[in-house]
Amino acid sequence: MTNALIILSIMAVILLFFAHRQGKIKEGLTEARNMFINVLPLLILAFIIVGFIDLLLPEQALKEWMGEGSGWRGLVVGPAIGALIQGGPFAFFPLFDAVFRDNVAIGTAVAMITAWGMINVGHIPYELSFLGPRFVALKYGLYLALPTLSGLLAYFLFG
Amino acid sequence: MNKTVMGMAIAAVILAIIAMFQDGFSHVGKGVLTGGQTLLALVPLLIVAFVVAGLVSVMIPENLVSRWLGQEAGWKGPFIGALMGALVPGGPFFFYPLMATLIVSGANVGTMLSFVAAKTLWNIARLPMEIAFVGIELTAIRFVVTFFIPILAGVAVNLLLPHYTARVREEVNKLQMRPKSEGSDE
Repeated sequence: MTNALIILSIMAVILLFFAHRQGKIKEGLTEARNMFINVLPLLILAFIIVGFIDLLLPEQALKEWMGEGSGWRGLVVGPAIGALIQGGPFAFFPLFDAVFRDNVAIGTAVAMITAWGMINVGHIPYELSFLGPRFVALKYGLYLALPTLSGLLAYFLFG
Repeated sequence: MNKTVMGMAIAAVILAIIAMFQDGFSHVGKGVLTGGQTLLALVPLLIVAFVVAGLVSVMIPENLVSRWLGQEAGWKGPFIGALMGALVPGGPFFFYPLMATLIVSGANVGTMLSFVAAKTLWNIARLPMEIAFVGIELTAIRFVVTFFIPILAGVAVNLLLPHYTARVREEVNKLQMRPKSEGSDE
């Protein structure tokens, strides 16, 4: 997260420099403020929802469901768990390493990592806030099955 | 109050009720507090993210967006979108507003789906973390197996649902309470 802050700050400084040269700083910052104010109610709700998801997630149960990589079931349960686990790469990958890596088959692992990135439920509140329900419907309709299919492909190619 | 706010408020209330049944009112407080703490911790990042998104939206030439990411880009759009996704840093509070800005400025929805898929599947800032914790072999397999998803998804949506972009754009405009006109207002 610190890295993201640094990189985004550098981007902001570069953009501010060019905006200054185009005389658009004020307009840009006004736009930023309007955007922020307009989505703030949504953003607050989004954070509360994500807070609850985080809190209600039965981490112990998640670990137990996976058990020993159980064949085809892992290709469904694995991505479902991946989609539920919250936190960025700094939270997810260490957790994956500690809990799942040695207990799951290759296909399940691929499906789980892919699902965590592509269909994470924690992203839905943000996506709704900024992009709206139609985008969310399309994205999840299109991507829902892909982690399982990727896991299956990994299983056939490398399993 | 628009529908999205309402839907999310309902979701929050349902989660709060579940939390209450699980462990009483203190649990509800904890959920709200967790969310609030996350929000507060992210305030600096949020401010910078919105500054970047705001500046991009007033500085970005709309003909450039539609040339590279919109209708005119054709099959190249998803490639460029996916490459952007691989390179752009930052979490959901940055890239979703950015995607909204790009869609308003003329980007196609399929191309934005390429962007968001590549953001997780190709991201160069994330790969080192994945290699470190998951291992090089498994990461390589994961990368190879999912490599074509960003491109295929974007191309498919742009080809099969050519009119969906306008409908999503309309919704984004509504969320940001912009006037009905196409594109960002001057």
